[in-house]
Amino acid sequence: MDRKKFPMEEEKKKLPPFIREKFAEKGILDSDVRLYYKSDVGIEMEFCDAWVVVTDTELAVLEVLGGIFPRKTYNIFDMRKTHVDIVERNFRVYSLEEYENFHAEELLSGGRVVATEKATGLDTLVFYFSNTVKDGAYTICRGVGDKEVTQDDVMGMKENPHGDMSPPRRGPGGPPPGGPGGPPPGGAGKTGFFKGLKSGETKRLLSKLLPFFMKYKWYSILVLVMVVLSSLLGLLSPYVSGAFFIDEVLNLGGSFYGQIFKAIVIIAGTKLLSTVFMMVHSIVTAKISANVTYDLKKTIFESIQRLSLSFFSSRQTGGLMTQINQDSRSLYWFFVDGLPYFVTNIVQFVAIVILLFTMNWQVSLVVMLPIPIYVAVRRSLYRLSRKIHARNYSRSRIFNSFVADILTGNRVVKAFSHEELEQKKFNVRSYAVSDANYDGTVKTNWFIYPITLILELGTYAAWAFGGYMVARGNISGNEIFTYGTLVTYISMLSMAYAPLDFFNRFGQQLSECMNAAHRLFEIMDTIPDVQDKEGAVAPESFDGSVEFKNVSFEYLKNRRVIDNVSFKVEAGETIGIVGHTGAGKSTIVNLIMRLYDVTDGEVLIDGKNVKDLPMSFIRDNISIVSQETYLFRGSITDNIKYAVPDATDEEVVEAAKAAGAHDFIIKYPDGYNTQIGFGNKGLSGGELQRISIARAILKNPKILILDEATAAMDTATELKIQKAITNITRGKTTIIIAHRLSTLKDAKRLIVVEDGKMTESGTHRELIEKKGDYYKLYKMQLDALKVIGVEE
Amino acid sequence: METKELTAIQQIAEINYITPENSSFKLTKNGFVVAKIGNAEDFSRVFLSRAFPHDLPDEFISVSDSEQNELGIIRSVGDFDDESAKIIKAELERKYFSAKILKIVNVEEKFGNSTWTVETPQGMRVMSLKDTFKSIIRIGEDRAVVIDEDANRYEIESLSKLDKASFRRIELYL
Repeated sequence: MDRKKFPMEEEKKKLPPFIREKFAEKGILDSDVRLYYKSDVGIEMEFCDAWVVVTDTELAVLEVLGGIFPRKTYNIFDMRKTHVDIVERNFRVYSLEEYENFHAEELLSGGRVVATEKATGLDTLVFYFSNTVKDGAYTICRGVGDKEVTQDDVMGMKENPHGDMSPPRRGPGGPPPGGPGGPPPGGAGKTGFFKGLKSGETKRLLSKLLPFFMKYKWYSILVLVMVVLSSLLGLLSPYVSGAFFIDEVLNLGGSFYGQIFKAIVIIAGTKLLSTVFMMVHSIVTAKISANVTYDLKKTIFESIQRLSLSFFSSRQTGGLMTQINQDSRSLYWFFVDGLPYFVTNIVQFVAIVILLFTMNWQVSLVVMLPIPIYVAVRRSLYRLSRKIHARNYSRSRIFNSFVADILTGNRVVKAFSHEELEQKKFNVRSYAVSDANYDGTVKTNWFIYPITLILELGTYAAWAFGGYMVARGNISGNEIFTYGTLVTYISMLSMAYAPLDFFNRFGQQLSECMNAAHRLFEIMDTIPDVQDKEGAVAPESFDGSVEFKNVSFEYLKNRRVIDNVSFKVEAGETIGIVGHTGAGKSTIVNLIMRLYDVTDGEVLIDGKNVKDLPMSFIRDNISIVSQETYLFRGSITDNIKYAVPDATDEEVVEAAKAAGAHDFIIKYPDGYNTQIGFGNKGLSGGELQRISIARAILKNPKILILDEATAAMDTATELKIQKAITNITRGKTTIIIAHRLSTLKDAKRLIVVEDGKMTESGTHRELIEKKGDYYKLYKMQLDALKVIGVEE
Repeated sequence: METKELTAIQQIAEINYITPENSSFKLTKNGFVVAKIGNAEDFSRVFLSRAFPHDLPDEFISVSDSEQNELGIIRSVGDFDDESAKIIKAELERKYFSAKILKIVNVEEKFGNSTWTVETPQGMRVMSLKDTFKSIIRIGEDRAVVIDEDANRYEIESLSKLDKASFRRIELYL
């Protein structure tokens, strides 16, 4: 086995020296290596490091076992904490003269890179990879033939100014698990983003939460003062009702002997004052809680709104809503309930312990003994209780989504008369919930009650030891520890134990709060994929031409949905984009709107790259009427005005009239004030679409995009809407996207898109004469019409 | 093969069943599966997919060409001669390979997610699960598939046969 030194930090982006040396031994010099990549699966499908290098003439794979380990021994001259233990197990070279067409094939848990042998035309296996390093494998395949692919592309290296708090933006294929970036124990490959979540995480999250807290510092300080004052008075009450009342009032020779009324006034007075402090505390808390919750929800919602569309496509809306509600509650708890009480309890605990030791240090030493044992046991049980809680939560979540699913799909259940079957499924899931609850409660109780006994031991010790001292004192006539002091002592002892339980709960709740904070900062720190360029200025004049220059786009890495598309739409021109469902037509629209940024090429509006224009400018000047129309809850007027909030009622009616919506709106008893939204119940598809067109008319943009605007409509409705569409397209740059060719009759030119590529363009006549893809589509639709007896 | 009358659904479905009579499978010298199906003139590479990977791993095997067009379905690998069946099964094993978890060495939970250190016949592996409960899929009573946040799959062949310490580490997630 070779024992070599761990590479220094600045060499992270290069091959590690020990791998470099191995390749050099095989005749592949570091200076020739153009790209490198580390896979985590070997040729026998075992987990190991497979280093792949690409030079101008070959691709080589070196598989090694072992990795980077923590040093067991250190010496003062070498403070490096790791050493490398590797052993070579396989080496293969693929000459680029003999092999071509390097490509990746997907398997269930990753894939394999395959190349074609030029001489035989047969495929051959190059290396395997897991899903963890999948992206890098695809990039390496591209990089074999494309010299523009750089090591940064392979590593997916993009600067992340937000540090490791951002959601996983891992370097695909970059020095992955076990690489020079992070040494896992025992050479095991570590996947995922937990590399960033170290023990200092809680501290960092707390420090990030502090600015929120500071905003409410005066309120919080007031709450804190009230809680501390009422706690201190609470401390006083065992003394006045114990030692003071028994020893000073009831005891012959006491300084207040016989003054029972005065004593009662003092006892009641302390109680009353404590109650007043608590009342003030509650009122202040109630006052600020609403503000804190509001503020937190606002912050979370603002953060979510700021994000690009890609963020929403990867998450469920339901999950986000839960996040806004639950996380704000958890964080609110931290500000209002957690932190002030934490401080108070510490103060209370320390004060009581000092008092107890002042009263009798010998007894106190004995009664404090069970506390460390109690704390240790509680800590070890904390994990168990968290798991139990998580399991209950998970089962309830499954149960709730099942119930929601069945109730929503009740019509289908009845149609297939599956009530009984669903009842059975319900029973199974419901039983799982109650079983988890039962099991959790039993397990918790098994431990909770016995461990409270640990603390009881302290109380018994106080009774025994203290009682003994009281009795001895009485016999000897030396009353150091009186009966009254003992009663006070015992009451105070139980008050010292109370914060211990709070500290335990605090740990659990703090962890929930940290989870919420983690999610919140994850959203806040996510850099929107699409953002305004610094200094982007809206042009003074705007004609509205749109141009695609060699545009390629992928939603997921290496999955091109738009591939090298180029076209130009002159200002005021109407063009149509045709293609099958899933050909990439709507993606083109997303790119014009800059909902996503192109992967390659440029989208130009009026000759300017959309990336150089402010997003608000782009969106103010482009309107989309799409197949999916979403109307918000509110009146018809509100919804039409959504495009231009300060439009007059007159303009709203005009827009509705132009959109052909006025006629049906006027028939509603509430006219333009008719309340719609929330699933858009009560409006037909055609009506919805006309409201959407009215919105677009009101906005009066320079560029109009009709994205399958009439696809979901019957022909009669489409004809009606077509008139409205003709009204709005006049004088505007219009892009009509449709798979139904009749929709495109107004388009001067047509672009045909298939599998993300632009296959043809030209006028209807030109394309028909060309007899290409468009002709096929045209024929197909014509034949379909003939089948139902409609001739052109 | 006996010709049965097709059911109404079969008539609509038009499934092309690949049988030993209308096809032949072999391995290239580089170990890739090639097949000659129906009237094809030559052997070409084929890609196999299980329709029911958990329940019927050797039945209803979809066979596609490199363009992902389905050429047909193998009703049961068992219908083929031993040599062909071996080739098909080996390719399926490669495609559906997921490391078997022998031992769960450690489970650490943080922020609702967990990191598992597991021992597999292919070596040690540390993996991250984004939502532990959702990441474990029970197959029947005793089997489970664990999917990490990168969509790598691991299999626990028998939960009841896991050693006690391993089982205890994941018991509450099941």
